[in-house]
Amino acid sequence: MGRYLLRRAGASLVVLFLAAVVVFAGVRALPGDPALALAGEERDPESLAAIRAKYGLDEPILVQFWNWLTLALQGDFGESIRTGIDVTDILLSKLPITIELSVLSVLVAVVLGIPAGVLAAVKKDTWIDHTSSGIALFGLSIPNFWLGLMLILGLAIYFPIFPASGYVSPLEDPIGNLMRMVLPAFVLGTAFTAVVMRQMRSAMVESLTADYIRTARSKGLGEFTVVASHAMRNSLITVTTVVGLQLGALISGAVVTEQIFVIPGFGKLIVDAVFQRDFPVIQGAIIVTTAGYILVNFVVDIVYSLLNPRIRITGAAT
Amino acid sequence: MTLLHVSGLSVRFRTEDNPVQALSDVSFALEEREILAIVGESGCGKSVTAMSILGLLPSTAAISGRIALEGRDLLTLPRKELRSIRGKELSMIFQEPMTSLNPVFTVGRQVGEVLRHHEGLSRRAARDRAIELLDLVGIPAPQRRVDEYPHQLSGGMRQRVMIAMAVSCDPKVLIADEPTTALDVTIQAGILDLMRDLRDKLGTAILLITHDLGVVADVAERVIVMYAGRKVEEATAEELFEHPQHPYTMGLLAAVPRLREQPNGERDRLAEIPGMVPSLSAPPSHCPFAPRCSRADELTLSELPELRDVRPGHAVACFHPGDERTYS
Repeated sequence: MGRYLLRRAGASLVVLFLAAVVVFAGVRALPGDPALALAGEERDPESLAAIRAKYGLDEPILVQFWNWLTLALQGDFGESIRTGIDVTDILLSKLPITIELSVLSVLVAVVLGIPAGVLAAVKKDTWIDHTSSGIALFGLSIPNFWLGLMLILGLAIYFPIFPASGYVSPLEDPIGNLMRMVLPAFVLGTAFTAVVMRQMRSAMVESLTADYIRTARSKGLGEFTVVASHAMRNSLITVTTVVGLQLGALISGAVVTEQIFVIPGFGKLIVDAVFQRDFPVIQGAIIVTTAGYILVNFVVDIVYSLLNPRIRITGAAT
Repeated sequence: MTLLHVSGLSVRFRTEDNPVQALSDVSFALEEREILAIVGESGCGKSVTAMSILGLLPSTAAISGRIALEGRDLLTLPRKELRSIRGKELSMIFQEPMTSLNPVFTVGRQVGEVLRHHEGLSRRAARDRAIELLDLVGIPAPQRRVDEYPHQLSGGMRQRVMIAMAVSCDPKVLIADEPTTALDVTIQAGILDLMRDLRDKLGTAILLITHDLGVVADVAERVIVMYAGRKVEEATAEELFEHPQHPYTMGLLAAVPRLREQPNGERDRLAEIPGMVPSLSAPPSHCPFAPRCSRADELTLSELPELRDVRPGHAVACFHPGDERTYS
């Protein structure tokens, strides 16, 4: 188990380094010169050169990369070209918001999707199964922006239960924070719920026909124990992978949802930074996102090995 | 004393096309401490018989008849009571030891689960008892094995775990559905010895379901031969092997491979029963074996033979019984 985790950690570092290379090169491949964008009206060669020199944009690209990487490893992502604010500070202020939104929407998906999937599998081919599968398909097909707007119209304007948009820190106003997060988390979680439900259903249908389920029944166990303990434990192995992948994707920010609900998270940050050619911000945000993705996958692997003893022992999936 | 009494058991499965009559009017009795074997080809209804005794048939099955365990009819018992019997008084081991254990739980937990469920043992006590049971079924180093997962055990060991689980509550009846079929021949004998041993030690009656006459000869005391969902012959093992009456039984016996040489020095070819097992979705109204039988005549092709005693304790459903060789 220890060696397995060590190997996974090593692989994660390699991925992170490759991501840094790609991001750094990719950002510089973007059309548009940040010096031009910053210079504004004063486009004389001297001021452009001064700006380039200030941000190190005139150095060879490998040197730029080395400088950036060594500082980034120390947690220093430089300053925003636009605002001059420390990128690390910007990221640290946005990160909790994105994490909160991601975790809440995963929670929505897990709390709704898993029981619905189990129920559909147990009641396979009955109206319960068909109805929940239908709802899942519907949830998967609705575009986020439309669902977000409809929820704002319905639950914030006609029936003003939740605030329409904005963000307050949970430290200032925990209840206000949660109220503002309900709708975006639900919007983000809808499609995800559908995915979890479908995955859980098919995994459960398979588990329930397994020989060990027949064994469990022959032991005289009640149907609840058979389903909730013997079948679900096996099905969760598949679903954990899906949840992990999705959670990782959410960390990179839910651009559309954050725009609609005016939540100042990672999605909005990255889009704004790209439009402004704010290299340090783009790089920092994407590296942190990548690290988050890798971390989530790492955690998923650990959970996975806890759920599946065959991985725990041999160190590889069988 | 009769422990398990099955009478007039019929099972019909509803399917998309035609209903399938898997069992027709099967009756037998299992006595205390007895090892009774049910033999026949695939699809003859052996496993369906076992599953209907435990009440594990899918909901598409229509069951009629009576299955009495010490006088209680299992077919009419409320679900909850049936569950309190399953695993405690009546338990089962299955053909596929590789897949019959849950891969995500330790064997100790899976054996202990039965004890915790039926006897209300604590986690600690169940574990201790599980170690004793693993030891009883001949698993070496049970202290260590108890915390292992099924994939760490060989097929034979897994089947021993299944047996430990099945006998954990000291059941009155153990149903073993092809318990050795998936195992290497060298492992088979060990499992059969173990089952006989447990019968001697614990007094458990065993209903052994198999297609393997070698297994029958090894452990069974009484044998029921089934064909196309019907019981066609029943006798003590010795009697059946010495004086088979039904042509189907004789065919089965002749189909057991053995090394034997003809006078001209050539090896014997393996005998086979000509023809195919009849379709159960359209069971014939005559003797189901008639189309494959060399003794068939007009009577066998028009009527269904009833079971009748040809000798004391030896019943056969055939119009022309007899042990003169038809197959060799």
